[in-house]
Amino acid sequence: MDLTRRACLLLGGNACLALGLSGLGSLLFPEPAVVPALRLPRSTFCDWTNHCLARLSYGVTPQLRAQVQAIGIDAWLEAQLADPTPEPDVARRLRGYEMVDCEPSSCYEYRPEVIRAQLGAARCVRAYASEHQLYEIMVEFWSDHFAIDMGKADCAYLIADDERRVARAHAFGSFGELVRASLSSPAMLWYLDGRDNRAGPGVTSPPNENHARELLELHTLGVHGGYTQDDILQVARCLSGWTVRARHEFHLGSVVFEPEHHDPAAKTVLGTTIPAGLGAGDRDALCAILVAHPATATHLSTKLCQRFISEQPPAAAVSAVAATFQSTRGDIRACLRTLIATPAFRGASPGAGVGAGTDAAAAAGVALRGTLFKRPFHYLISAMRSADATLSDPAVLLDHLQILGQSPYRCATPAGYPLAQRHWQDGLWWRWRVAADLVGNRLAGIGVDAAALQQRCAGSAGLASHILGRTPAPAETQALTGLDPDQALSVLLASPSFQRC
Amino acid sequence: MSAPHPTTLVVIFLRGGADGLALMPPLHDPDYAALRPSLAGADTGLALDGRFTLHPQLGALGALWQERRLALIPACGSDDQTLSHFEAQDLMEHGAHGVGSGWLGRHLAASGAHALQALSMDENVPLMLAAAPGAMAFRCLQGAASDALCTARISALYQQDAQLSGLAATAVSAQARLEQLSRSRHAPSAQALYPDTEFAASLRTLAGLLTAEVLELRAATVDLVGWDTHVAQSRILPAQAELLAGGLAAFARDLGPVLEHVTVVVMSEFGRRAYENTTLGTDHGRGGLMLVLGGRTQGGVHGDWPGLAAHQLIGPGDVAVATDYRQVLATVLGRDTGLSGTVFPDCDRPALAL
Repeated sequence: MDLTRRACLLLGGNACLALGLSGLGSLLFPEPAVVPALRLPRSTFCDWTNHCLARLSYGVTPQLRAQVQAIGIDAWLEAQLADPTPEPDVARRLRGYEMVDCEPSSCYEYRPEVIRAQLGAARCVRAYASEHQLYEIMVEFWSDHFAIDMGKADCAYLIADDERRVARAHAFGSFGELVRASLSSPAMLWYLDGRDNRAGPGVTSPPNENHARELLELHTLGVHGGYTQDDILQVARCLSGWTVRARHEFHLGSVVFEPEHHDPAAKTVLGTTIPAGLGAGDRDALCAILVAHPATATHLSTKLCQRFISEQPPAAAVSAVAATFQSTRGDIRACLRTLIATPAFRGASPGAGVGAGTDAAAAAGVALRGTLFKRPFHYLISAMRSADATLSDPAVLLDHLQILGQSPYRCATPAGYPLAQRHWQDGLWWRWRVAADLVGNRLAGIGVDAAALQQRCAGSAGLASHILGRTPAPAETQALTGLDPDQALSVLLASPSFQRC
Repeated sequence: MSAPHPTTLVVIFLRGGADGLALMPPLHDPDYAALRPSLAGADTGLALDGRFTLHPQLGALGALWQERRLALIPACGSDDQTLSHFEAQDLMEHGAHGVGSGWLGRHLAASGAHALQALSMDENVPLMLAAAPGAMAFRCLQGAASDALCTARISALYQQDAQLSGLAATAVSAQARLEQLSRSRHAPSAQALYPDTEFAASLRTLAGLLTAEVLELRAATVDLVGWDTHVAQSRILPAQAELLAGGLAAFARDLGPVLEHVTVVVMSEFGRRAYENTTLGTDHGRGGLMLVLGGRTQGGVHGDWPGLAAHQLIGPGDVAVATDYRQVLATVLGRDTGLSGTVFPDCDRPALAL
C-alpha cells in the first residue's frame, strides 16, 4: 500500500492507472524525461481490444493502452469483472468530498446544494480516475435503473447512502439483493412515497401505489411484463408499513417497519399467494416472486444489451443474457460475461458469419462496432480520458452536464436517464464547443496538453488512431490536414466517430 | 391582400400527469368533495361557468380568460390504459399506435416546413417532434464557435455521416442565426413580469425568438416537470400551478400583438385518480385537462363532462376520457394551418369550437 501511495505521489494522478498488473518496480523510478511511445491501433477497423476498451470503459487513456498492451485484453476483461479493490489514488481525489461517505443523519446538517455538488463531482472523479471502469459503468447503470431525483423531499440527504448500499454494493452481484437493497433504501422510500404507504385497521382509503407501480414497471417486470392494476395494488399492500424516520424523530433517516400500518391479510401477486401474517416478511416474499418472473429476466437483459450492444439489440443476444439471468437467479456478473460473449457484442452485423469468436472472423462483420451513441456523461469523461487530461476540479463538468441534460442524481423521472440516442443527439453543437474548450484549456480545473499527446503518438495520424481506436479514414486524415495539435485534438473529439463507442 | 400570417404552435407538456380535477375543479359537484375530503376544501378560484372554477394559483390566467383567449377542455386524454408515465407520454407524443414519428413532426413535414422551423426549448427534442425537418434543441445551441476552421473541418466529417449529417448541418446554421439574434437582445415588454423560474426563462427566450422572427418558427415545445403528486398534493400543486400560470401570463403579455399568430397548447400524459389516497395525494388516472390559448382561440370550457359519480368513473376510479387529446390537437392544426388530415390517422372525432 505504501509503495503504491508513494508511486502515486511520485508519478501523479493517472500514472497509477498504468501500474495495474504491469511492472510496478520499473515504473517506480522512471527516467525523468522519457515518456514511452504509445503502441497505437493499426487496423482500419476497431479491433477486438479497442472495441472492448471503448465499450466497457469511460474512454481509453494512454495509460490504459499501455496497461492492456502489457497484460492483454483477456486479463483486462477479467480484472474488470472482478470485485473492485481499494484505490488510493481515487480515495485521495475524493478526500474533499466528505458527503460520499457521510451517514444519513449527518448529511442532514448540510445544504442540499453542497451535497449535490460533492456527489456530482465524486461521480465524475470516479468515472475519470478509477481503474474499475466497468464497475463504475454498472454503478451508473443501476443509478439509472433505480433512479432517484435528489431534488425531491429528503432525498438529497439520503442519496449517498442509497448509492453505497444499492448500486455500489451490488453492481456485479445478485439482482435479487439489488432489488431488496433498493426496497429498503430510505432515499427510495422517500422518492417513490413508499414511506407514506400506510394500510391496516382504521385506514379506509387505498394505499399509495407509486412505489409499487414503479417497482413492477421500471425495476423488475417492465411495462409489458404482464401485471395488472390489481397486482399493483397487491404489491402496495405488501409494502405497506415500511417508513423512514424523518426530522424530529430518533434515528433520523433510518428505515423501520411499523406493523400497525401494514396490511396483514393475504395477497396474491402475479398469481402467487403470499399468506396472511408475514408482516415485514412480505417484502422478501414479494421480492422472490418478482425476481424469479421471466419478464424480469427479459426486461433486465434487454436493458443490459441496450447499454452494451445497441439500442435495438438482436433477440438472440437478449435471450442468451436472459437465460443466464434465469439460470443464475440474477447473477449480474454472469449476465455480463454472457453478454460480452455474444456475437452481437462482438459487433457482428446480422447475417455475417462469426465463427469461433476469432478476430479474423469478427473482422468480417465489425460493422456494428463503434455504433453506440455516448450519453453526455460518457462523452465528457471519455474526452478527458482520451485527451489524457488532468483533473483537479470537476465542477465545470457538472455545468455542462446540466446543459446537455444529464445532471448526476437529478433525473426528473424514476425511469432514469434513457439509453436511446434520440434523447442525446441534439447536444452535438454543445459537444463541439466543450471539446474545443477542453483542448484549449478553457475548462477550469481541467488541463490538456495536446502537443505533448500528439508527440507521444508521433504525429496527427497517430493521435487520430489513439482517439478513434483505429487508423483514421481518408476523410478524417483530410480533416486534420494543416491543423495544429490543439485543433487536431478538438476536431477528433468533436468528430462523429468519437460520439460513439 | 397578402397571405395570412402563419401561426406558431407552442406545446407545453406537463410531465408527470397533471391533476386536471384540481386545476379546474367542479367545485359544486358533491361527488368531488366526497372523493377528496381533504384536498377539495380550500379552492376559491375564479368561477369559469356554472360548473367549474379555476385553481386559485392559476389566477394569473384570469385576464386571458376574460379576454376569451383561453379555452379549457376537461376530461381530456388518450386511450392508454397502462397508467405508466412513459407509455402514456409515448403514445401522446406519437399521436397514434405503432408509428415512429411524432404528431407535431408529421404535421411539420406535411406542411412543408423546412429546417429550423421547430425548436425545443429544453435540452433535447421531444418525441412529438420526431420526423420534423431539422428540429433543434435550443439549450445546446448557444455560444459561438471558437475556431471557424475547426468548425468547417468538423462539419465536413459530419457530412459523410449518414445518421448525423442532417442534425449537424442544422445545428451549424441554427447556431449562426441565433448568434445574430443574441446581438440584438430581446427586452421583454414592460407589462410582462416573468417569474424567476426556468420555465418562465424558456418562455421569455421563446418570446424573443417569436418577436424577432429570426427563425420563422412554426412550432416550439417546452417541458414543465413536477406534476406527479402522489403525496401532499396541497403543498406541491399550488406551486406548480403558479409556475405554469405565471409563465404563460407573462409570455402572452410579452408577445403583445404577436400573440395573434401564436397558439399555445398545454397538455399532460394523463389526469389523476378521482379520489385522494392515504397520503393526501392522488395516483395516476385517466381524464385530465388541456388548455389552448392564443389570438385565434375562442375562450370557454369545451367538450363533455362525464361526471364523478361512482358509475361515471372508470377503472380503479378515474375520470372518464370524454374528449380525445387528438380532437383538440387536430382542431388547432386544422384551424391554424388548414392541415390536419394525415396527422392523426386513427382519430376521426369531430373538431371542437375552440
